[in-house]
Amino acid sequence: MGERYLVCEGGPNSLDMRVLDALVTRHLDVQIMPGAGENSIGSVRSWLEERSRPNLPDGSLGPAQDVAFAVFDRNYLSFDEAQKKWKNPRHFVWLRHEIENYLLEPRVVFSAFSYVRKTTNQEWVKGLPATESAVRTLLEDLARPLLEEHAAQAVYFQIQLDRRRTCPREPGLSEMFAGNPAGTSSRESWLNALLAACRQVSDGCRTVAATAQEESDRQIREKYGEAVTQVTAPEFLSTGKFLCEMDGKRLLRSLATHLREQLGASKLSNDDFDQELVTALVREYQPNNLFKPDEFLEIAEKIKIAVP
Amino acid sequence: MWLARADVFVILAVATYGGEKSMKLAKVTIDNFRHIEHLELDFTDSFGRVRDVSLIVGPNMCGKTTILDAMAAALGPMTQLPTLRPGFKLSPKAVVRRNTLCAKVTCEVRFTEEEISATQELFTLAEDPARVKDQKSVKLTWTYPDAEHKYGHCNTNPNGAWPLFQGRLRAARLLSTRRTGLGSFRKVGGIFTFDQQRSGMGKSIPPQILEIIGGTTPENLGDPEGGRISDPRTILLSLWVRSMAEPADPTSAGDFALIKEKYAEICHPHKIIGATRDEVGELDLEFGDGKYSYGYDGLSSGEQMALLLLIRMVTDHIHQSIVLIDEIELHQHPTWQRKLLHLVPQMGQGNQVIATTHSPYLRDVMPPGTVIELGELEDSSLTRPQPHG
Repeated sequence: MGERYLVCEGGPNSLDMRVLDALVTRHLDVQIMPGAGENSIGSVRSWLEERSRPNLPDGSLGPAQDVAFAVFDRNYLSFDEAQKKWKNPRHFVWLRHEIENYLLEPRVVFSAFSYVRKTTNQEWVKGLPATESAVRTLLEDLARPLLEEHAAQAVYFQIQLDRRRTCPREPGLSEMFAGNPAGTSSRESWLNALLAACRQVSDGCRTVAATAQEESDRQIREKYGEAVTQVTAPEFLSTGKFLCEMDGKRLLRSLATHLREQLGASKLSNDDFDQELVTALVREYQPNNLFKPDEFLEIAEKIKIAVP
Repeated sequence: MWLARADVFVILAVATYGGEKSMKLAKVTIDNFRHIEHLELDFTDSFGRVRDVSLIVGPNMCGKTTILDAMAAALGPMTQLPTLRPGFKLSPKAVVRRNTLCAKVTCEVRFTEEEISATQELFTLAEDPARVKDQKSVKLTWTYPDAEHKYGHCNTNPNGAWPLFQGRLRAARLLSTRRTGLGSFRKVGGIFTFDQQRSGMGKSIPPQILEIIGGTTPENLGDPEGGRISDPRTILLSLWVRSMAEPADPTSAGDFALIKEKYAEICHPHKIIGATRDEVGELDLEFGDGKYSYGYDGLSSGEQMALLLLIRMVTDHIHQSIVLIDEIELHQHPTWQRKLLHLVPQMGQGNQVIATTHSPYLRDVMPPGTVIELGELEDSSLTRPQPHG
């Protein structure tokens, strides 16, 4: 029997590698491989299969012995759009924004905090939330100032996708923009940053006429307004939707910064905090219990069905 | 005396989960040990805790095993436990770096309040007048050679902190004379070494039990250690036979049940069902995965290695201890290398695992802070792995 691979985003030691290696391999013997960015995952996946083709006596190459699958971040796309984008029976797409969003599950964060409180003598741990609902409230509080940014990034992502459809060969399109130049989180400054980023995309795309710029700005303003309305509706935070939709990396860094700056965990490194959450996730994870649906189990089962 | 076999010190320690509960190695400095001129290792994280697992990664001949040897050599005399791997030669020529006078290893060892008070109780029970200091962090310095001490000279800072290192030894002695209950052993750790040959896994099995198993003798099992069996199938069968008999020795009672329980936990859905006699009357182990049952031969080499490690962890009652494992990936298919890395910390309670590897597969799934890199690895993850069975 050949090897089974699952290629994920990120490099060696990445959170994707560590989480998948700890959870998916519980259900199935599969090797998790780093695929770097989403644009290279497909190539890594094909290469893993390609290299397993044996030389046949007639000098040609036989069929691939190994089978490789890939799992992609959904990012700001809807699940359907992401599935369409990565359409392939050997591709999976996370239901949540990216792997970090699974680490931010309140039960996981609470478990990590409880463990830290039990095992660390430092003074700052006394300020950690003491209940799961307090953890949820903290995450909501940390997400609130990021909502305008989230709306801007989501609109930008959508515009990028539209532009790619109209000018697929245009190089240099990035999928996120770095941030607003003013460095503030006000709605107006995010809108201006979004407009500037979208203009750059338009300028780079030959099929978009320069005369359409004004119209385009108006559309972008409208789209952004709609997106902000959606994410600032109380249920976006209260139902926990933000934990699936928002940029998990951004939220995770915000949480670590809160511990450092508000609680006084001045020496806490991002790597150690991430690992604390991975350990907590592994500790809390039970099939079909922590996550419903359990995508880790589903991925393992789909691979098992495809390659018994 | 401290070079006696590991299984002389039979200690049952059923520890509760979570947190630093025992002796942990926080930092190590190695000077002039074999080819190492000066090396500092830090096993703590930014929470200020000692990491549960640290991986020393590097290519062959970069000194990974030497680091484990240095730690084992330094901690052995103080703990009076058999920490050195078989085959390790402690002699000035073999240990001290050329053109230097002595090798020196400095260890920052941490103890918790729980362990300190447990050790104090054990010393009181043993009627030992030595005072166990209330000291949570001790710097142990080992120098070798030393004119007066065959295994090197150890001193502690603060002075006189040595009893803190000997809780497990006291526990073992008290247990052998039944002067304490098993509960006393839940909080005292030791040092355990797993060498590349996994030779410390061997167990002495009485001939009567070998006869019950199937007339097997150490000789026809090709046992190089004379009387010690290192075949996991035979060891496990012997534990099963013992579990069937009236437990004469409470320290070994329940080992089979514990292995069975732990195996089911870490190798789910696979489990040990028990032992049965086949049609020709030979005893064999029976395993199952919920659908099928199979014998020992049906295990993959990865499962066999996991079982072998588990047997030692359970029968030597390795909990709350520093566990040094040389080449954790040994003979394993990449998938099992990683599986084993996740399984080993679950085999005992509260252990600090320091393992060496030259496997890029393992390096890639460890968090960056836990990996101590000693050199560039040949990245074999880029070449197709060969099946190992």
